[in-house]
Amino acid sequence: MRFVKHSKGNSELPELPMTSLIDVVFLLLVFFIVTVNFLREQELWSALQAEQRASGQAADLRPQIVLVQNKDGAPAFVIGDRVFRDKQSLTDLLVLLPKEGGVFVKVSGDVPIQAAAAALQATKDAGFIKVTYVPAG
Amino acid sequence: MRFSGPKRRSVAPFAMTPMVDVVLLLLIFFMFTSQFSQITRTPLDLPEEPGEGVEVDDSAAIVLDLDKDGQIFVAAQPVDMDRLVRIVQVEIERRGDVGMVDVLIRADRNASAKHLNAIARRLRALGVGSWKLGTADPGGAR
Repeated sequence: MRFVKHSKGNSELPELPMTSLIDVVFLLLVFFIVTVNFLREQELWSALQAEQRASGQAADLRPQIVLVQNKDGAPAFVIGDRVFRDKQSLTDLLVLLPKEGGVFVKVSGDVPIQAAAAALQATKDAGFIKVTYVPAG
Repeated sequence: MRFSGPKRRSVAPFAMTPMVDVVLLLLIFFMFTSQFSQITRTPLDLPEEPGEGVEVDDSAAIVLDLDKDGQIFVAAQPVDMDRLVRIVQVEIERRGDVGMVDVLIRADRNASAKHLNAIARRLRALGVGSWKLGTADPGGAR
């Protein structure tokens, strides 16, 4: 019986030209750097106010109302007679309020959209599920 | 008994030049196609809020862009309010149920809320019950 000796490493592998490979890799790198979105876009969900709610039993579940309006030249968040200038203070108060009735965010037309978004974010952070955007002015 | 030894297979030479050509062509192709997909988004300074932890879904039925001057864009095309109403109506007809219409508003954070309010009023008048406001997660750099 005769066996042919099989030696490993006998096959000749072609050399990979590294220069071209690196060129391609760098081009791919540049492509992904250019096309990647550096800011992750998120979203805030909000309902839109429907018709006026009926009175009666629903009165027990009245929504909280957050006004977003301009006060003394700067956007402010108003709940009842309390005025907040920053989102965190608003969130801290909203956390303490009952959530069942939801919350209305009533946005005046003279504030920037950032203020409206901050109010919506505060309601979400405070744990409200039913958030209704109410355009005002 | 005689066994034949393993046949040595010759490895074909790896031609780099055509491969680089093909890769470059693919690269150019993807660059163009990604540009076309990005072109529907108007560059805006979105409100800096973390949102609800749900990344913006580009497949939202209607994506409105609202720049800081109050100009509305749909698919990067400026539209007025009447045109926007028509677009939403067509979408409602297409879906067959106003509840199925998904509206995402990408608004510049420096724009006046009166423009957003105007859109909200029109959407409400059309029966759209909810919408989403696009935000940019300030800590969301990848």
